[in-house]
Amino acid sequence: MASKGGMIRTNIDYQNYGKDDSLDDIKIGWVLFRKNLWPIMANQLITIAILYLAVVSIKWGVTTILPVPFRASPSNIMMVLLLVDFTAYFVFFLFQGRLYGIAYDVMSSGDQFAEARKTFQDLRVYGSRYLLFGLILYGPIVLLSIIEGPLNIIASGIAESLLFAMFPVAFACFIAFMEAGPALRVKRGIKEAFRENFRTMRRDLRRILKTSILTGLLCFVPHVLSIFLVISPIFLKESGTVGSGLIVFAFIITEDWTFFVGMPVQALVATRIYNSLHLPNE
Amino acid sequence: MSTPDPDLLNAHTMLDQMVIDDPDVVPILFHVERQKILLSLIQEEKTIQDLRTELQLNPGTIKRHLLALTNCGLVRLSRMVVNPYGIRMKYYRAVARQYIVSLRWPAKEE
Repeated sequence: MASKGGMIRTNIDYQNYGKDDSLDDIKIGWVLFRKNLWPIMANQLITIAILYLAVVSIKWGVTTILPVPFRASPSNIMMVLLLVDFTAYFVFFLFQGRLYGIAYDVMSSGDQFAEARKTFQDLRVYGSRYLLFGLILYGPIVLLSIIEGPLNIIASGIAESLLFAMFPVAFACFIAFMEAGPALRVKRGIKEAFRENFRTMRRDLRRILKTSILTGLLCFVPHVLSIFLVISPIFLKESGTVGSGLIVFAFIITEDWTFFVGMPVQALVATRIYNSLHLPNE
Repeated sequence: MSTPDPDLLNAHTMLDQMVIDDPDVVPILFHVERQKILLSLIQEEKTIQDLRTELQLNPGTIKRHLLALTNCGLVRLSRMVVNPYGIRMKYYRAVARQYIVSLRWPAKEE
């Protein structure tokens, strides 16, 4: 057998690195999203399918297998709801972590494409990292959804107020840890990925903040606003049947926009920032 | 197969000829799609995306063919570039301009 080949040269255009180009980050994220639509959509559809199956099977299990007295107890219902929550988060974190895997395949692997068929292979290797990353990235939201149920039982309206209060915290948490995502595949472990996240933030915090706020405004804020509209009793009471229908329609549209477009674009944008700050120095 | 001197294989050097005497490599070379890829990489170094545009093949298929060709030393990774968009690109190049198949059967005992 012949030698696999000779030396690998690395030609890097240093001129374009380190400049504050948040708009370019988003534009490139969008272009790459469109170019890799199939693997991204496949990933998101698999997430929905598995989430649906998991939630439906838990509900089916509860309603058919468990005895009636068990189902009547509020604490038991709470346990079942938590089980549904944890299952949903488990699936969600795994597949949303895979979005960073897709972004890595497209932008960092050198091949410039991603394959839907690599999803489960990727999850087998990096699944635990994706889970932990998701738990930290969406920590405040997970916490909120866990305490939301009991809070609603104690006094209605508390959960809504808490959601308002938690939104900036969740967004800050997201910005603080999002650059660990692109490092998950590059670095040896999750700890090293988070160290790299802080190194990235120290290097260009302004760009990360600017890009995240822009991406947030475009991809996430519409859905957050629609959540506020849906949960707010004032809007639903005073908007009438047509208004309520429109609010629910807006909720579904913005949710789909965030899930199918916002999250993949955000993963690509985060990877683009990471690459432009770290790859030239490798 | 004759083993080329790795020192000769820097980014720009290409062997004029490469003799393939390994029977396992022959089927890899005589595959229509791999031959198209190899022919293209003899002309100039290319990325998977360049090959995709030129040959209208699935990038996953191209990658698997390139892996096979690289593993048996017919193609090599010539360079890696990070473009201004922050995307890393791998360039592939054929190891030689011409491949000569030389087989003996039964193989001569060493």
